[in-house]
Amino acid sequence: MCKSGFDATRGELLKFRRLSFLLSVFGSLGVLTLLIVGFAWSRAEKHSSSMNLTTGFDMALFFLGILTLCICASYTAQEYTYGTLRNVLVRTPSRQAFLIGKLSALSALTLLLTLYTFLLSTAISLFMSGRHGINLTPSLEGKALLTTLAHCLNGFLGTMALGIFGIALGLIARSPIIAISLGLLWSLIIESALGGALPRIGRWLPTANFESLAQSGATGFSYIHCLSLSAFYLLVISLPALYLFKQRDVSQ
Amino acid sequence: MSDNTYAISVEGLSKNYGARRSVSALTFNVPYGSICGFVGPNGSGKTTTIRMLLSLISTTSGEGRVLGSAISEPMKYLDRVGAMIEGPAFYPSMSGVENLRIFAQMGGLRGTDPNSLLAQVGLAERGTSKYKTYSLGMKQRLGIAAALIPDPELLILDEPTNGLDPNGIHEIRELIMALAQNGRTIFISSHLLSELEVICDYFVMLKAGELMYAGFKEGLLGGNNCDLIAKPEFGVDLANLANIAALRGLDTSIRDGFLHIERAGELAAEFNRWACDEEIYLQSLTTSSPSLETKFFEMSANQ
Repeated sequence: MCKSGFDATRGELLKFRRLSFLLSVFGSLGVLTLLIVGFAWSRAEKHSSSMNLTTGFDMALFFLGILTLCICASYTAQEYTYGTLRNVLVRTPSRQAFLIGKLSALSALTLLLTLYTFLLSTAISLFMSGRHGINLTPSLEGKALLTTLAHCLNGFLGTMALGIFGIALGLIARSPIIAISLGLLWSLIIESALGGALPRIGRWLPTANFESLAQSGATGFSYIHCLSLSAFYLLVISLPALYLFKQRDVSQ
Repeated sequence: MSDNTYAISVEGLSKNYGARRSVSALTFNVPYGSICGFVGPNGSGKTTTIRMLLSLISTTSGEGRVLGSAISEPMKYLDRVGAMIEGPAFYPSMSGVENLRIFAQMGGLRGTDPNSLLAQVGLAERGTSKYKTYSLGMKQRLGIAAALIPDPELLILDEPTNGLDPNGIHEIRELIMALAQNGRTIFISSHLLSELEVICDYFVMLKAGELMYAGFKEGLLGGNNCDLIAKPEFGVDLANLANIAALRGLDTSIRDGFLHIERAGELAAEFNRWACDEEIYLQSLTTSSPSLETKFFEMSANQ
């Protein structure tokens, strides 16, 4: 299992080694991060205490999460639409190994995207902070640096939670368009509407928890609350997805 | 069920989808080294059977063995099996080489050389082109190349000539025959019965999920049971010639100036002698086996 999972992971990683894919993903994320962080800093007041090193990163994380959800849903569901799943399973006999490979490779990609967003947003923040007379260098020293890095790690965890949500939707829907539509519909519209209409339940909704987890626990949300509830939601969505993946005729 | 004689061996294999029975208690064997034609009309359960053999779907009942291992333990035999199921399926925005590399890596076969596989199927020059730019024939050939990744003992091909023009069909036929040369077992399903008749030496025939025939080509298409076709030197002797055969209890018919004697292939020499004894000399005497298509329809009608 360990070897076949490793082989499946390497096979999945080969799919990302395409210049067009890397350029489009990293390019679009770079432009978005630049716009978001730049916009946030351009609106900041001089010597404002509300801006810190990770403010821009937190804002960019929302789009990173949506992008990750779309990539994960698409890369999982397209195995059905292309019909490649049957080829893969004939070569990787265990479905578990296939899923381990898929999850590991997408996690690696998400980690890279998170680090890229973090580094880019940090660089933009450091550049822009000088113009606003805000000194951010203390955030890069001593314990503050550890906190900043922990923030980056939480950014990865929250983003990956959305990625796993995307993988589960891909397995259930078996169509990239449907999986992505369902993910966006839930994350951007249904949760926003529910949160708006019933503010008290907002803290209990999945995507809100994933986002709060990514921001190391947002206002009104403790970190442990976000972490445990996110894990619970991922379990709830993953179990039926795994059951369907195991039971379904995958050769169609 | 013997492990050593048969590459594929199934006994009572069934598959139900809800109340509908797709495959019903199939029992057949496919000997090692044979090119086995898997024949049946649409919906007869061919692809379902192949999916069960490859463990892509579960069985409802029955058991099967592939290369000596039970189909419930696919990890024991799938690394020695190559398969193309329901046509080729690849990542469209990647090249042939990239696709093969991914599938080889997935199977832990890092030493695989995609270029040599592509050369084997005649795609060497288009290896770096994206899959979506391939013609249907090239896609089929890439599918076969992918099936060859593990250098399989058993090659399972589901409709490898689907949608191909006559040239493409001919190329795939030549390729399959070349692949079978080193003792590899090939299990091939197709609707093109005339093609299978040319390349296969063993047949498994299905109809509506049930087995119609499993055995060697000779057993199916006649061998000694083929028809005898005779033409006398003079047309006027045709009726007398028919009479000679009929007197010996043989079924005859006259068509287009030829006398057809059913299932009398083994009596060719004797029939020639009988004719000579009656001073009727033959201009031609040949045997004729029924085609696979004829046999298939005949067996279908009898079921």
